[in-house]
Amino acid sequence: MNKDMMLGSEAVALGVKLSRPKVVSAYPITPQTHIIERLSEMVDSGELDASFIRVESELSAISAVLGASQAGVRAFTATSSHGLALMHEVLHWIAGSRLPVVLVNANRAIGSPWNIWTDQTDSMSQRDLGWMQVYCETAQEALDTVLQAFYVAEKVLLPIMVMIDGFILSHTLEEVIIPSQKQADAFLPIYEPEYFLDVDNPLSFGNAAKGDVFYYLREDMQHSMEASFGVIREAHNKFDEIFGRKYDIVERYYLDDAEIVFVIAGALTGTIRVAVDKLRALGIKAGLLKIRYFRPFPSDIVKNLLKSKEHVVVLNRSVSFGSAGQLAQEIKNALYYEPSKPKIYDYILSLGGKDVFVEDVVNLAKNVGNLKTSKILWRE
Amino acid sequence: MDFREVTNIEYMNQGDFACPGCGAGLSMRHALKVLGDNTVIVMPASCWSIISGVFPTAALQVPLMHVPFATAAAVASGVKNAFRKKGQEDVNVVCWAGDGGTFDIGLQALSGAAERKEDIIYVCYDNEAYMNTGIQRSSATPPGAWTTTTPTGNPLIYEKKDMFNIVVSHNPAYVATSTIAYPDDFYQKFEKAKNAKGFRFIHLLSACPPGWRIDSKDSVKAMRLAVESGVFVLMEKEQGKPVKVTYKPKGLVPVREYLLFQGRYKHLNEDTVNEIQIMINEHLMSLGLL
Amino acid sequence: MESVDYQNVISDKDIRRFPISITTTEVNLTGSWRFYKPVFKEKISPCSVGCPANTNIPKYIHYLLKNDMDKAAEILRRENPFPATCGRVCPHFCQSKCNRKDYDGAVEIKQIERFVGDYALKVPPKKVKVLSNKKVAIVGGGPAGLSCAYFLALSGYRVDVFEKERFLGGLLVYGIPDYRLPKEIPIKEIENILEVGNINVNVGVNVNREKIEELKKEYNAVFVALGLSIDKVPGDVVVDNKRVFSGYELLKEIKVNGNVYLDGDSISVLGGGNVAFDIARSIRRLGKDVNIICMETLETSPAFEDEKKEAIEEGIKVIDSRFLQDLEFRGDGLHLQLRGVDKVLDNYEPVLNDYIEGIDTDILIVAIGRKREESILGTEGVFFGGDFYNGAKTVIEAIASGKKVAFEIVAKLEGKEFKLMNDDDQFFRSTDDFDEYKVIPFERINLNYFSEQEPIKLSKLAANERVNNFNEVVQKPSLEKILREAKRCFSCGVCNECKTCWFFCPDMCIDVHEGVNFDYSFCKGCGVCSEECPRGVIEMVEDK
Repeated sequence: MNKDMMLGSEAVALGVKLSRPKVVSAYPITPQTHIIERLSEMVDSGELDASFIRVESELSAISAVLGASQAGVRAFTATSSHGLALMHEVLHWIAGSRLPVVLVNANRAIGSPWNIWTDQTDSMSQRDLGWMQVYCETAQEALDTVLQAFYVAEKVLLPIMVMIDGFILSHTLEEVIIPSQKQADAFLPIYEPEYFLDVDNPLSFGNAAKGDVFYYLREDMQHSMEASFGVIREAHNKFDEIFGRKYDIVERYYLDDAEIVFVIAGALTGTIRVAVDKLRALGIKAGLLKIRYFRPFPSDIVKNLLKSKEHVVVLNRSVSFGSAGQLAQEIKNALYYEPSKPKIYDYILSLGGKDVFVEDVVNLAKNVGNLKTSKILWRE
Repeated sequence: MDFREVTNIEYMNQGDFACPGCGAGLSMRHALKVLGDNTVIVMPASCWSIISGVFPTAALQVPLMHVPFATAAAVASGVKNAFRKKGQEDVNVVCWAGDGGTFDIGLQALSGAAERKEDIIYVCYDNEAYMNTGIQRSSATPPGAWTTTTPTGNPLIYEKKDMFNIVVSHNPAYVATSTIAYPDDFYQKFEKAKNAKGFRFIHLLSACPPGWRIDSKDSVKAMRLAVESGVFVLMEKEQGKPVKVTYKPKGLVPVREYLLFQGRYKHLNEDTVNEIQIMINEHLMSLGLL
Repeated sequence: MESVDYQNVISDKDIRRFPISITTTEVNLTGSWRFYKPVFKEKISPCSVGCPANTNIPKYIHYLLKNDMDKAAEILRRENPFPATCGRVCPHFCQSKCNRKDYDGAVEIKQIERFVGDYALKVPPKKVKVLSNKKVAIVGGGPAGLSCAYFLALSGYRVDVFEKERFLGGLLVYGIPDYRLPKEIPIKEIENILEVGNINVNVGVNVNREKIEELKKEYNAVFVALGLSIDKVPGDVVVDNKRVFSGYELLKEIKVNGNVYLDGDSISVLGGGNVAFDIARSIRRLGKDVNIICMETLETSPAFEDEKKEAIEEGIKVIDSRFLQDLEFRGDGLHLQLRGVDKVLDNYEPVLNDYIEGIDTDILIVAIGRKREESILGTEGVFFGGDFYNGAKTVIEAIASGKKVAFEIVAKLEGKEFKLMNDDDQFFRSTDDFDEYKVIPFERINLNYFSEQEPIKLSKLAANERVNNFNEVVQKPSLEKILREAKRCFSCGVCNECKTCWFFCPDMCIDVHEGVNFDYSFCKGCGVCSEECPRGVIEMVEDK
């Protein structure tokens, strides 16, 4: 087995290369830069047979990817934070066009003030686009998820945004098992879309649609999201068969008998794992539910896993001002119809890269009896 | 031009939603006659977003994708690179944008694509305002013109943006201005653009009867008078060659004649008309036409 | 939406998933937006008003350019059975009305007509069956009589033509020298007229007043077109055919024999019209010194300008503003006493001045005009036409006169009223081939579709190449030149399928084929076609 130490960003670039996209377009932004630097090198050296379009903005990067995908090839872009925000209009357009684009977002806070460190406000702000969203914990997961993302997107016919936390995943060296191209090719079929820009079968894409038509096009996006869990499981099973690594829509850690459950998405999961270990050593029945797929949100799975728990502490890394942490909203939503439900705490764990120490989380669990469920909880 | 020699093949369907006498519909019809069916159109928000028909009908017989307002040149870059990777290098990838999508919101993407020498043809059909949204001023609106956002006339200091030279400054393969009122000029320039490789830009003046407040029958006449009065100069620039004026009006028609038959200029007084005439004269002198 | 049959090409599931347009906008019948609609209306070109026969000149030029010579010839001959003749001798009034005149010079219609006319020589018109028992007698086989016979025969009537000479053709065959009109041209055109059928020819028949009365009983209609049969001769001059000759008779002799014997080398011709110049130039070709004596100044004399110019080039001396006051036989020759003329009045009376000059000459040829046989004029119940009725006019006027009478006769025989198509312009065509009587003025021509180009120059034999023979002076123009000239035609009011309307139709609603056809299902009524039409054949009319 071929292993190497690499940054999370480099793992992403490797996953992209193994997916064989034909067009990559990107605009640099910290902390996404290593991804596109590596891809540029791969394209220039001929390692990756793709066009790399070095555009003048993220708006153009996502636009070029829109064009390439509509022309019928696999297309990829990566960005972060302000860049993702600048892409917003086109992100909608890609989803409405039902194009299986894959985008990696290195999560980063959005100003003002300037801040390059990680939080998930950028991607959470884009949750309603019709894009699927996956949050990764490790470099290996990031690499593997890129491959899975193309597989799922091309079957569901919706684009996927893959999140890696800025710096704590993008810029951190980890050991990564490097899949072979042969394995990747066995997993990810050649991309052959049914409808694309084709001079031999001239179609018009995106002509104005009246309300009744527009309505059922949007309805189908929701149906596709709902039906995508089957495709995701199929992808995970096939991935396990070929690569021998198991993935799920959510991940459980000491969850089955847990009384206090932490819910989190992204790379801080690792910190929480350590905290759970410490709490277990102290005899406190703590557990962890890691959310991989935030869109579609696996409400049924979450409901079944959490309905009989006593305390659920949702560790948000973003906030919807005036409402709640976006992750907490989803958890509450999933459990709403249950007759008996756990106490759900909406905790804003970190924004703009504010450090999270294991002790903070341990103390939080110890103190869980004093927490309030009625409002957003902020750290002291 | 002998119109009998123009191909009878049409690449546009009847029943499009262009207003009667629309210069943009007519321009597309003939552009496609030159470009042929090995062509893909990328279309940002513009009148053509509506002209092209309502889902699931289409007015074009070539592939077309609608794209967000600011993105045409970038999307086309992606399309062209995809075709290249598929081994279809010869497909004409054409942006078909209005003046708003070119002079204003699409300028950055256009500049990027031009600078990267993307192998695409960018056509701007310029009807000199945001017509599809109801005649609001753009940076292509000429001085003096009435629009709904310049109800007393576009201030004279707002000179129409010089798109031709902006694009020329990127040193692309081919840049031209034209209008369908000059069929020879139009066909030759589209032919040149089609045969050149690299970034190509054609700026078409395109009459808008409702927006210019003219009778629909005078659509072609208006485009012609714009050229004959020196308001719009037919030019081209091939890479490595100097700028060339491709049509010199025999005797310049006073700008008054062009302006005052259009409702959008009818509020202009004699002094303003004279000032506009001076502006035009200065421009023509700079081109060696006066 | 419901009406679109998209399911043939895309599944119901996919059409609800992808924002793809796969059917055509042709479901939108945009014709319903229209308030005005274009209609195709061919009108009248000024040249065809100028032409006494109202020939549809733009139309035959159109078919010439389309390389459909048969059709061009057919259209030309619809109004004039003598196009090859007229292409040589007609003064082409049409050209003086040409809209192009004020732009870069009138179109050389004459040369184009000659070209198409020469082609027509080889293509006889179609035979027409007799459609009526009624018969018409035509007295006089010149251009007016033959034109009348032609149009009656085309209308299915039987015609008997009575001609006093041995051959048909009158002036065309006997009166115009070969260097202007080779005799085989009108002869072939007459043969073609007879090809229509229904025409019975009687030559060598002298018709007088009594004979006309007989014909009136025997025929349903009688047309008299005897031309001008009597020479005018000044005062006491006597044509003795030794020293004094009739110009017309000499021309006839030269036409028939190719030569004439005149006892002398110095010849004077009296008269300023075409006959005077024709005989002078003919005699010059026989090696004589010739001068012309006329009352008018050279500029105001009634002969065609080309005739005068060419005569002078050929060495003929014109003694103008002179009146023959006296003639004296001196030895073998003549002494002519001439008076100066200040001006000539409308009734051809000269205003003399005091100037007197005498010239000696061997022979005097009188060519001051001809007059009709007045005794026949009073006959009631017959139709008159041609020079006999109208006085000395051009060939085309005689043809037009014969044509009009033919249709007057047809109307009478069918119990209908004969009507001109326009009274002010005295306009009449054998075929109603226009939609609206409206003469297209220069202002209606869309000059944006034309560029200035000089008319073609005629190619003529040089004077020294022509003075010793009767070869045609004006050389046959090349096809290339003719087509170049034909392309100059504005085609005023007549569609020449230029396709300008088609090109500028934003809605692809125009088909140009034998005129302009509109697709009213989709035409939005913008009116660009009408505005841009270079020649005014599309009108916008209110719709709904």
